[in-house]
Amino acid sequence: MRRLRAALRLTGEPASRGRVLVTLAWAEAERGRVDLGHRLLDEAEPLTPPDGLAVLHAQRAALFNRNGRADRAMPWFDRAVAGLTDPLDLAKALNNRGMLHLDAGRAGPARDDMTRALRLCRRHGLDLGTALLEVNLACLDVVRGDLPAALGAFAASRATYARVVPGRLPTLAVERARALVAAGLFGAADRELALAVEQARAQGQDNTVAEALHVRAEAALLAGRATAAASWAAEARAAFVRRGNPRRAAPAALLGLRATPFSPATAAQARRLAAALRRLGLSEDARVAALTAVRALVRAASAGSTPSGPGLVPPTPAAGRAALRAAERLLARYGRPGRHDRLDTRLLGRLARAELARAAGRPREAGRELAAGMATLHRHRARFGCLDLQTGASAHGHDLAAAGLTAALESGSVAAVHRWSERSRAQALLLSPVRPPDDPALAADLEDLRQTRFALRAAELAGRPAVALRARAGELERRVRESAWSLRGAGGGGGAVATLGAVRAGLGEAALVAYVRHQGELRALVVTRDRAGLARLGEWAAAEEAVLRLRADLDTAAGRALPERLSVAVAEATRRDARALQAAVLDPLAGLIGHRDLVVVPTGVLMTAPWALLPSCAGRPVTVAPSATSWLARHRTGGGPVTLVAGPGNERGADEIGSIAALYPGATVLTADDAGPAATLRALDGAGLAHIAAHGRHEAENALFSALELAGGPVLGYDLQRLDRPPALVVLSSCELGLSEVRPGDESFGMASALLAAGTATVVASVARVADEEARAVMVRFHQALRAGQSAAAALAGAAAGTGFVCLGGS
Amino acid sequence: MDDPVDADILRRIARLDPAPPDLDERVLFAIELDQADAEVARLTATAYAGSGARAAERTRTITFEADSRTVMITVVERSDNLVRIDGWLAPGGALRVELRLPEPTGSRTVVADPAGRFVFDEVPHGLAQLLVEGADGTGRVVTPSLVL
Repeated sequence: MRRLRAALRLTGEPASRGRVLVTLAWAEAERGRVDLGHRLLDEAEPLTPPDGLAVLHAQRAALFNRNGRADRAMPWFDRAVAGLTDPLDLAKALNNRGMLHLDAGRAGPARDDMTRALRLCRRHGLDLGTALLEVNLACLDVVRGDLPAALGAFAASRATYARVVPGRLPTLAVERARALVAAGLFGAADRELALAVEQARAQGQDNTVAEALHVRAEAALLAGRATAAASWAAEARAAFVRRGNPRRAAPAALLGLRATPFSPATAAQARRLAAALRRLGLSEDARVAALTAVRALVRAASAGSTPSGPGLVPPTPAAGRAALRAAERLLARYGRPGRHDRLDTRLLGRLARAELARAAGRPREAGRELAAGMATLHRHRARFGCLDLQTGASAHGHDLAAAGLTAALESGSVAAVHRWSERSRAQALLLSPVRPPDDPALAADLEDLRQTRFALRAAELAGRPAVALRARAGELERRVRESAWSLRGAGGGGGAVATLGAVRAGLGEAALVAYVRHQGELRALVVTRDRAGLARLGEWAAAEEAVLRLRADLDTAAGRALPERLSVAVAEATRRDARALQAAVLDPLAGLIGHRDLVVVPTGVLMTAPWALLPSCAGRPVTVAPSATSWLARHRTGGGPVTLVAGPGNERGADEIGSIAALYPGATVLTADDAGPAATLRALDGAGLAHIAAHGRHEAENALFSALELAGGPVLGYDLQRLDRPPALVVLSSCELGLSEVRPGDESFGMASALLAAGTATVVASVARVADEEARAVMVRFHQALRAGQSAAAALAGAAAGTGFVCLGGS
Repeated sequence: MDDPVDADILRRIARLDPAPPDLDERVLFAIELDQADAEVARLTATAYAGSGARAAERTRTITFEADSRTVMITVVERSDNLVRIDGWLAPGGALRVELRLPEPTGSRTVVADPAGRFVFDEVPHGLAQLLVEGADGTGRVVTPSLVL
């Protein structure tokens, strides 16, 4: 800045003085003094020769743009694009005009401008422009909902950015995070943004900080962390106001309002915001504000008839009717979200209409709206080919699913509860599996990751520093994960849930218990061949805590020589915690399930409950199924060879495999150095039954990197997705590989879920640490029972009482 | 301390063997507790039974031994950068367990269940110390301070 002013003092020649003024105008605008910038441009205009005017026009357009005056900026961009000759300047102007089109929701013209600019940059070898435009086009893919393409492009441009414009990495991170939020991966988005905020602050990039905070608030709202969302939205809004940018401040204000609990004032605030957003030309945001107002009006109208928030007084019938009429008018005025709106906006539209229809006494219409919303979400989910994004997508359906389930529970119709219980869980498993194509670069990354993890483990065990190895593993994991994101779905794909009649017909002598959560309370749908009923169980928090305590009891005792009195205390605690879990999830159902075999369809952390520890499950076959639909669709175990593998580091592993091999003559047996990752994967493909005794490790942060430790390196969850013909039955005789990360919408994500999603019918695995000796004893008994013709669940029930082993999927 | 040789020696010591960065904090944290009547439990190493378990340690398990009582805890990372502490007392009993944390967080108290099982959830990283009351307000056991 100082240097520019000095240059201005030194320059007498008009043309160069004009150029300096234009640059100074830009610099002042960057500091938030946009009006001064305009005055400097006015001063520069008469000094500029005709062939330099286009640059000035472009600058003026950029200044209007800064202040959110898109209407004033557009004509200046048009003049600049018509007159510019320098390829870089022209590409910049095209790009900025494209951004403006994008802001106004004109995706077609935006794509045309940016594609033209990208061609210019590539032709003239402008690396920086090429990188920026690739990212902007990826942002357009996000808007179009083509997330596989967008995430692929973001991953590809990161290296270019790091090389050419390291200073703009925070901006790239914000755009990537937007795509991650659209994909439902709010955790990954939040990590990315936390770093981006820090870096952008350090580099004084106020605008990027504000954008990052805005997206962080969106991620928090999706994660159900309303308080955090409200505070970040407020921070983002304050920053945009400081920068004099109402076009970005108003959407931040809307986000803050959406993150705040409904109050009597919400409707009026949302309506004011809707009008303001509309004036700013942000039609989709205006629609979202109007829909928020509709939901607030419906709540105000039905206060008293439903559990209402604080400060909502029951209205008179006339006032209630007036509020509903106002809501109808708002819907008509702001239009129905259409094809060009974001997925979230379309789903919010369905939800608001459903709530309005329900309050107006049209429950069937409400049900249709909610079901249509869930179908829209499933079409979106079907565009993805990898489990990570297929399961992430369900986060967007959280409110719709809750509304559907609430209405079903209140109707008391068991069939309706079953329908919504199935619609709102484990939808990813309804999609046909997509096998990733053979990509040599990815295969090399996976191999490198295996070697790195192997070296890392060796270093950790030897107590050597492993910082560099850990960083390398992290970088490789990022690459593997991102490359999976660009995989496209098989399209269309199921989505139909099994009817209650079909479930009952398929149950035989077993009872199915599907758990659902409703406003902090746990309920169960219990289905047998001849009846179906609903039961209330009590506080969800009690069940959740009991699972966590029981798993900790198991983990801490496994394979440890505890001092006598501690061993006694842990055993007693385990018994108590098991009884507490049973009281929370099974005791109230005792009359309904009797002594039947159980198919449990869990919710939340119950997905990781050690059922075999519950006294009432001792010797009782229990199958843990992600949904009734997936359980019913399981494939009966076909034939196929038997594969038995023992990884290193367990004294009893080879022993276990030896004893089991005696039961299966002709089995492929891999032990010691033969049991490497590649040989194991080859032997798994096409097997009917696979049993792996190895060290296991569940990765909570990214469950598809959970690992089975084999000779010379691990087999990862990502490898199992690549199997052509996954085994029908897989037994993981290791620690904790039955654990999964449970994402919103009861989507489980982990080693076992990867197998089930790839087409395995049944996985036997543990949800806790397992002692080496105990695993051997349990597994030999299990296979003896299996050979004697028992089902997997029955064989496990006889062999694994008191351990963390569960039978997942079908049985 | 005016002797240049002494000063030089001190400078070298400071460079070659610097004090841990959180030493002050640890000392203050330890001094604040009046432990006159308490039995200090000692940290014990974990012994593996037979051939151990089929996993590397994902959680940190720490056992403290005092004559009157054993205290064992596991520390699990939560996704929100806080930790969950599961604990066991032996012999068990419905005793008051206090988790001391440095200011401004202060401390929290829970009552273990009759089996001596207790939990502290949403605990910030950093220094911590456990105090276990005896059955009738006597025989307190304190652990050394540890870094979560």
